Amino acid sequence: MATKPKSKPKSNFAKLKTAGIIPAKNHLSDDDKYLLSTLSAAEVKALISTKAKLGDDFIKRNARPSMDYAF
Amino acid sequence: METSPIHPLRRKISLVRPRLQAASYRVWTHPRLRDFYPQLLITFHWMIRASVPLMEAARARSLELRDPVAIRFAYYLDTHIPEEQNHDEWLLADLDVLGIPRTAALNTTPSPTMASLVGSQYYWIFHTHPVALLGYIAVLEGNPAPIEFLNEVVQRTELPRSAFGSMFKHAALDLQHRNDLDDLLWEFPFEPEHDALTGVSAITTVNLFARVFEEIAASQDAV
Repeated sequence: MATKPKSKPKSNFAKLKTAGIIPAKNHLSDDDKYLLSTLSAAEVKALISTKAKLGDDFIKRNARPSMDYAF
Repeated sequence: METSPIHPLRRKISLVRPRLQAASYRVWTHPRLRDFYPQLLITFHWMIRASVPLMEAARARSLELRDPVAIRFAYYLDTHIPEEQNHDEWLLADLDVLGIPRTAALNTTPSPTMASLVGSQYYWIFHTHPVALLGYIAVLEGNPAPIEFLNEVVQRTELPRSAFGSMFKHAALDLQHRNDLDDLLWEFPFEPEHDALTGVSAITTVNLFARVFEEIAASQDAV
């Protein structure tokens, strides 16, 4: 009996894109794409939970002087 | 000129930090900042009063585990805990300047988001590995408001400069703390599970701390 072929596991990049974390027209640098490929499954889930878009467009819109005072 | 390599933990934080920057900027530039600045100090106090206890818990757990990462982390905490002592008192002193009683900070119930932000660290310290706290520290350490910006806030709010004592002190101290931490990150003998745990901790810290700011801004927008 033929068995259903296993689908190829999604890459971290694909998972984040499906979750809407990486915009359709992504502008991630090659370095960032490599970094994403090294993340664990738990880190990918944590990134998805932030609901913050990744990529240059988001960073340019939101980059501000750091003032998240804490320690 | 040769530039220092950026540690992967810092690079993970840089992916998500813009959300935190946007949220904190929204609060610090809010037109009603003068009115809710005491509440902002109280919110910071909720968090800062947990810094030393969190680090002490992580140090104690590290000394129980005694694996190479835990030993290195305990060594770091030995020097860092004294550097963070009494910073909660600085915030209470700023509240004093504004005529706000200390009980306002000490007796109010912190928000669920604040409890999640700090409480998640306790969970990871006791039930996973104490080095999780390094992700929290790496996000929160060394990103103070620039002095020029604080001067502008003082001018804009017309509040006494001495009510920003804690902010100005951090502006002077924190960049050195950050540089020390960046040098140290390379010295940890991380296994993949430590990389993953510190990464999850850091991303979660950015997420929840941004939410703390977003909740303050939203509550003030509604006034």
